[in-house]
Amino acid sequence: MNHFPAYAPANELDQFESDRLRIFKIHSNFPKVPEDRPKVEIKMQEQPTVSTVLIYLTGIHEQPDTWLWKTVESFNTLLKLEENWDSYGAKRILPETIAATLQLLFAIMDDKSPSASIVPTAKGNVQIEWHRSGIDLEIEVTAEGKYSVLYEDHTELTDFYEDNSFQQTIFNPSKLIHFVENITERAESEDRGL
Amino acid sequence: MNYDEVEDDVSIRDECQLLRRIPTILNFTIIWDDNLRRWRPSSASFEDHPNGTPMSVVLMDDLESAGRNVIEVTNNPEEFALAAITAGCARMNNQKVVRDPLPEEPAHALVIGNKTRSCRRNFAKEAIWIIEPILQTEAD
Repeated sequence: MNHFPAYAPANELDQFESDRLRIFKIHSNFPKVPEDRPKVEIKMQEQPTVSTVLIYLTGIHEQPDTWLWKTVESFNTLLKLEENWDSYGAKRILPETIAATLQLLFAIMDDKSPSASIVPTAKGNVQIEWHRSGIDLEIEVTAEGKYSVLYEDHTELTDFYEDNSFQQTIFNPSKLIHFVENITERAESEDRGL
Repeated sequence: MNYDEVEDDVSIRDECQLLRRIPTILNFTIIWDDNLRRWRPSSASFEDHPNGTPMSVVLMDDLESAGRNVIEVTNNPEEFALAAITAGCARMNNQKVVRDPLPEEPAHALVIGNKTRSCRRNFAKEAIWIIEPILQTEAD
């Protein structure tokens, strides 16, 4: 099997063992991945000697988006965190949480979206956040594919949204798409010097 | 323990700094906030314990009264920076601050209350560095 992107670090390629491979496929009933996005298999591999899981993306034949590759690198780092990584009892980050987060990102990001910070939480969730262009956006994703969100546009005094309920799922990201579009537009304006 | 019934400890003054260890994982637990133009802890650094126990902190006032050094709180300064919010900041975000001395940390305290996303975000933005993280790079 040879599905590795050319940009995967060589030492991780050397440690690949096909009999340890687990595959999480994005099923056809995940409705929010735009049609023009490459279909992605997220392959999680457990290392033979340590408790780490690496992510390889397949099905991407062109040069990956800037935000995508940086994000995958971040996910690989998160998966290596051990129990109590924060000294306050934090849980490890599960591959399922990474898969849910990546799926959400494919639904809300486009080629021009600026990269987010990828942050582990004590509960084992993944938090993706942007703090730029006068906007704060934080999205916390669980292994079950649910999220909470905080959005504030400091340039628009009434533009504030917070949902702490974790009732929304990654299959219903319409508000998030709007928030990320705002950040992207501001980033593009700044790049153009406007 | 029913933390709802615990009362805020008014003997902890508003100006008292509440110390929190932050793992020095750049761009993960410590993020660049381009709006503030500085590195700061992520809001995820100010959560309750995964088992539901309220957020642990160490009281700077009690440390200083005992003649102790903040270095003792970090465990390892190369792996953990030290951030602080004030007890007043916690109270303004609907939290209670109570002493919870432990054998291994007599200055230990708990920050009790519902830590909404905006509460944690406010903590993260108000936090100052007591022991700064060792930063290898800065944002462009």
